[in-house]
Amino acid sequence: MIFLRRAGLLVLAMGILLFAPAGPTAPPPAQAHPLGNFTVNHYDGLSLFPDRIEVLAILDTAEIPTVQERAGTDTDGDGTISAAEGAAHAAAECAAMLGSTTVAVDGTPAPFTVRSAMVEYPVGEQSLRTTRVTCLLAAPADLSGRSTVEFTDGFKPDRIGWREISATGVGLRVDASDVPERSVSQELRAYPTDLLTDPLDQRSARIEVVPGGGAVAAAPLGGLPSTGVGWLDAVVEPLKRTFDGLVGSPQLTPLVGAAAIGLSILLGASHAALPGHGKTLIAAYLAGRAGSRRDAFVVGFTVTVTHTGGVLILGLAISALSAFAPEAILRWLGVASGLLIFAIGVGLLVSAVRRRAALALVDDRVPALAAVGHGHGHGHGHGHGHGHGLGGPERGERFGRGGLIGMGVASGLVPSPTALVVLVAAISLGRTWFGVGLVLAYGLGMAGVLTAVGLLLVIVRDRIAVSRLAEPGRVVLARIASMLPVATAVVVTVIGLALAVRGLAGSV
Amino acid sequence: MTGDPGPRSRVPVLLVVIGLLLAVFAVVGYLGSRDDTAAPSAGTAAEPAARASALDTFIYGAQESLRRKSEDAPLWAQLGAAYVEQARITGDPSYYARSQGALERSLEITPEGNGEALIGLGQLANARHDFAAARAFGEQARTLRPYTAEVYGVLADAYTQLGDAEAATATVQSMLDLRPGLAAFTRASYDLELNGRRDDARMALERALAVASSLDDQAFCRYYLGELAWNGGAVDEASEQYEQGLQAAPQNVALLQGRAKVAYAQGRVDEAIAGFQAITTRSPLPQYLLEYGELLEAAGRPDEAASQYEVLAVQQQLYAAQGSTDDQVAALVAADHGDPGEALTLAQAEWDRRQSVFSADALSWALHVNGRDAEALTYAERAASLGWANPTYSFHRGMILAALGRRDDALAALNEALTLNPHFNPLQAPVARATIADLESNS
Repeated sequence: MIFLRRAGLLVLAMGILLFAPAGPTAPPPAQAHPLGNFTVNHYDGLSLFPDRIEVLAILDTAEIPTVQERAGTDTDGDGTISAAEGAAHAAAECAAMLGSTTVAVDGTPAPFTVRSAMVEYPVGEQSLRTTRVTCLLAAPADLSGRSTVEFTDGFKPDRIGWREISATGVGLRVDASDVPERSVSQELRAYPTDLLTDPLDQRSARIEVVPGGGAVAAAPLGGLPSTGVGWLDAVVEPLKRTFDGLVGSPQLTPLVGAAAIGLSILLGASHAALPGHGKTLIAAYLAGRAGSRRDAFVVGFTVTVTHTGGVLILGLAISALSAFAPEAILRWLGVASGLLIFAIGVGLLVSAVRRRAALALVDDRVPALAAVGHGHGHGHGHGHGHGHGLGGPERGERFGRGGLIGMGVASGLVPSPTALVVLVAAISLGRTWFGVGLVLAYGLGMAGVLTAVGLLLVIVRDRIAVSRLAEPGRVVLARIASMLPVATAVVVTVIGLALAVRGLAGSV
Repeated sequence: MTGDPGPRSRVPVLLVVIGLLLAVFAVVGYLGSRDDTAAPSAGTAAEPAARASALDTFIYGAQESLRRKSEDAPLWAQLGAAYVEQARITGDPSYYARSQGALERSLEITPEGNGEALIGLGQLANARHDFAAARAFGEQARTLRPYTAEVYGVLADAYTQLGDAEAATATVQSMLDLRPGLAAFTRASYDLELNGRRDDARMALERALAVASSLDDQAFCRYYLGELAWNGGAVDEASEQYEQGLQAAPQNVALLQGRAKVAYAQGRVDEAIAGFQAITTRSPLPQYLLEYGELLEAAGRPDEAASQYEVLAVQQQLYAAQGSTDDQVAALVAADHGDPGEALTLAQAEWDRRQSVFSADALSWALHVNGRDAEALTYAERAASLGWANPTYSFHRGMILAALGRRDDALAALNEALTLNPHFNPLQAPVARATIADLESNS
């Protein structure tokens, strides 16, 4: 009975840790190009900043034109497209766009330059390749006052295919626009198959912008970096939209306010439950460091404080300074968070290795240690450090608490774009304090999940440690328990490094 | 630990509840997001097309109306038929899938006696070259709607392609009696041309042009007037028709192809090649790729020609995967630029499917490249049986006769090809001339 419950607990713990990545990650199956095998499809995603215009220009080329272009792309004629040949092709395509993609602000043309160019070759029908060129174009433009932006895409005008334009304002408000704010085809990845819809043929756009951040709520992630995990964005998206609606609703009744707060907590919880956050490593840390239940609450508290503070500072900065680029800040915060975790991991590793060296001298005492762990590991909730006195209890205690807080800071350091957007929206609606409350609720939601995961791991670990197994089994378990600190330290180090690298690579 | 189950046992329960909540929450969020991605599409349809023709206007109006009143079976069927037409004009095949969906929706609402949907399905089947299915839909529709001209349009196209010449002529006549409009005149013209009555065919097309109201319709008539002149060797007149058509529809790919082949016939090779490159970039249909490849080969650029044949092979692979029922072009491509054995397999399959002059010609040529000229001649004569003055068919027959050693008949057929149109094919016209010279020197 006890054993069953324990097993169930383990399964649940695994389930929670695995749940998010094992969720709706299945990629769509390769299939015929939805718009026919010889289409060339365009998407231009405009981001209007007070000082510049950026265009994410994507060219999706189906199977037949990909074969037709092959002779031009495969310059050495060896039958395959090397990375260099692909890069050259992308650069050439993006450069060619400059000649026919134009933007004018109040009638004055603004010159585009190519910021980046890349190419992918997704597999299409019959294992044939298709081509997806992604260009980032940018033009300096003064949109700090009321302005009219006119954009045209005349690239490859006679190719048959889907043509789509969207436009969002970042740090300014879109007053009128003849194009939607976001791509209806998920940037040429999922074409709508409505029987009553013609293939989109949008070749130009006219957008009027006015100063102010009012429209940011309507364009939640437009100018902010996405997570880079497509489905992750998809999961949170509908909730966010509901949320934006609540925040911006004309009458702020107690019911709407309560609903918004509740949704905030839920969003924060979901944000923490999804991968890409420090939850796994916080859990690993607690499990490996003989953390107590109180430690789990410490982590939760630190995360809430750090996250709320970070969002407030950044949100106020965005609202106050029109020419503020949040992406760069978010990216560097991501790097900082990764490096912090990395540093903690290295510290953990050093202390764990030292302790193991000490333990090795008194190997026969291991079973007894496990028993000590039992005595203090639960019931009082103060097991931290007691079972591992050999490494020097004071040092372990001090570093442990500091490391925990560092971990919480790292987890809360990168403000969630959702929270940021909600705050900015609330400020622009003159509901600053409501926005602050929402961000606080968001942080509480995040902290709740992280604390719950931490608690879960502490309990599972304690149960393993106190299990009334036969003596040989206890020895094995104790060995595993003594290995745990080293293993978790390694995991923490690796994750920290990965987060830092990812931050440098540009996604948060 | 078994001693105090009270406070402890609540923790796992709590954890299970939290876990379940998280799971439900994420799943609901995921499902919600999926609904969400499908939803915005309806909104974007509300934008009217930039350049509106009568067809565009009809489609837009029908879409709007069906969005409000989704149970209108006849309108769904008409929209399905309009999508087929739109696919033909724009060259965008995604309209075929939409057409199919709209027609199926119509049949879903009214499964019995839905003549409009059957007509639409017949038009769609013809457009996809599934002529047997088109005939079946057309005949079903005819019992339901015997006085609707569109029924006879579906049937005339199907009978013509399936090789039932008599039924085709009779059906075109029924269509002319019911509604002597553009659709009836253009079909009558084609029927007359196939039966060797070129002057009558031209008169029918001129009448069609006289009643053509939209620019697209005018361009359509100009193209076929140009083709009629081209196949009779009248390069200048053909050019005149193509150019007039391009004034009505400057981006019409068929007319641009006419202009490019005129350029080659008049010795402007670079212009012809540039023209075909633009055409195949925009609309890489097998016929254009084949003509472009042959033009490049004739101009001494075999590598570039080979790339076109490679694209053709990929195209063929895709068509086969989609269950294509038209192997005629593929058979001729394989016979001239590929594997003779494969050409024969494809041509035979096509002949088994439909016994028309088109498939007879393809099979005769496939048999010829496999050295089976005695059998080939039977089919070549069958291809000529209606009296259609087609220089390519004459060339095929002449080469088969030459291989069989029937010198005088071969000379007659090859001269016929060159008399009809000295520029009928950039690769084959020189072969015809060389063969004639060869045959005459051996006399």
